[in-house]
Amino acid sequence: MNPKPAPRKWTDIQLAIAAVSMTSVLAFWNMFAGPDRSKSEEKAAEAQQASQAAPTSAVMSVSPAPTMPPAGYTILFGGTAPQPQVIVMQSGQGGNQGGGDPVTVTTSS
Amino acid sequence: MGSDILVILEQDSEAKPAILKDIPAWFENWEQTLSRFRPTSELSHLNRTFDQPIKVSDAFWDVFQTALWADEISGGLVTPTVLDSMVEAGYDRTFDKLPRSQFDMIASPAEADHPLSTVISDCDAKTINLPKGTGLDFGGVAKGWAAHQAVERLQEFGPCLVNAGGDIAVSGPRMDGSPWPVGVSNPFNVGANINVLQVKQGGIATSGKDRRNWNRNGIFYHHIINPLTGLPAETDLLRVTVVAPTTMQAEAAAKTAFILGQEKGLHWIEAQPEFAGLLVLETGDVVHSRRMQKYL
Repeated sequence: MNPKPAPRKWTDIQLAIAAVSMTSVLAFWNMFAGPDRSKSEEKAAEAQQASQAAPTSAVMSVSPAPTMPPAGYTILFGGTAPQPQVIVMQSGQGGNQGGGDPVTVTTSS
Repeated sequence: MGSDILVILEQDSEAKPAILKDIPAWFENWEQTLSRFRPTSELSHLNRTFDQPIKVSDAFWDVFQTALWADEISGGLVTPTVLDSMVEAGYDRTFDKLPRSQFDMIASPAEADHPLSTVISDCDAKTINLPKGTGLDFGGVAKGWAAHQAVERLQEFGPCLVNAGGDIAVSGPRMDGSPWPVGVSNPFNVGANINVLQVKQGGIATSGKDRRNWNRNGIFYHHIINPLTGLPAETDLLRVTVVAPTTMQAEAAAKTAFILGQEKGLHWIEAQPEFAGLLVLETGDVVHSRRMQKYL
């Protein structure tokens, strides 16, 4: 005697309905999307032809320096703003003729 | 420039020319053009590129031409292509931020620097093309150039003197016809001078290892690189002061003589008809070239 087949569960029916729905959606989507895609491809081809027909006259400016330093390059930080001291000296001031106090001094630069 | 800058203008009245207000901007612009320590400077931009011609500003081109000249008269001893060696030696930030005592577990072996002849330049287009692995550092030549430029701009307002970190430019005699007294500081006695030079016109510069130096792995380092070895110059001199027609000439000559050492350096200065030198030995002895007598 064969065993009695198990009754179909409600969840199996739900799965079947969902699968059919998804398949239908994809099928209809492809059906209606197809013509639009072909149109867009045509437009792209036209635009490409137009751009080839009329080349732009704009000159590409190339940055003289890359945005990132090359490998091994060391960035050195510093270089504070120089603060020159400016002195206006009236004639006859500072240093005596033929010697005396120097107006400035040279040191190792 | 990492240096104190002094500008002296002599006037016969108390009136101050309006141009004096522009002086800080001049030096700031030159710093922004020529500093290797500013990532945004023109020099840093150039040093980040290789194998492509880069158009440079007039000021940059002028300093580059001065560097070419310095390289030529010094036989390649004073060249801007020592940047990598300078960084390898540990001088990788402004001197005020530089640790005076450094220790490295791994130190790269020193190599001779690329000669300046490997740098391609175009006079008409004012472009410079650095080969890969080469960077520029104008160093003292840029300071001398800046002092000279400032004097060129100011001299129409009166006799003037500009001191950019020890590199001094003098426009001409003072109003009474007398020379400008310029001290040569004594490296062994702070505040004292070895001599006071009487200079009517031209440039004065000093190069030496007595100021910008540091200790690395227990070894004394300084900032004047011998491009033939890629290391700080080994010399029996502590410093050299030169008087020359321009500050750039004085700077290049002082550095050349310093690298050459006492005997060859003095001989080299004597062979240049427009240069006068004052050499301070490590021992403290001072040697004057023949032509220096006229400034004492």
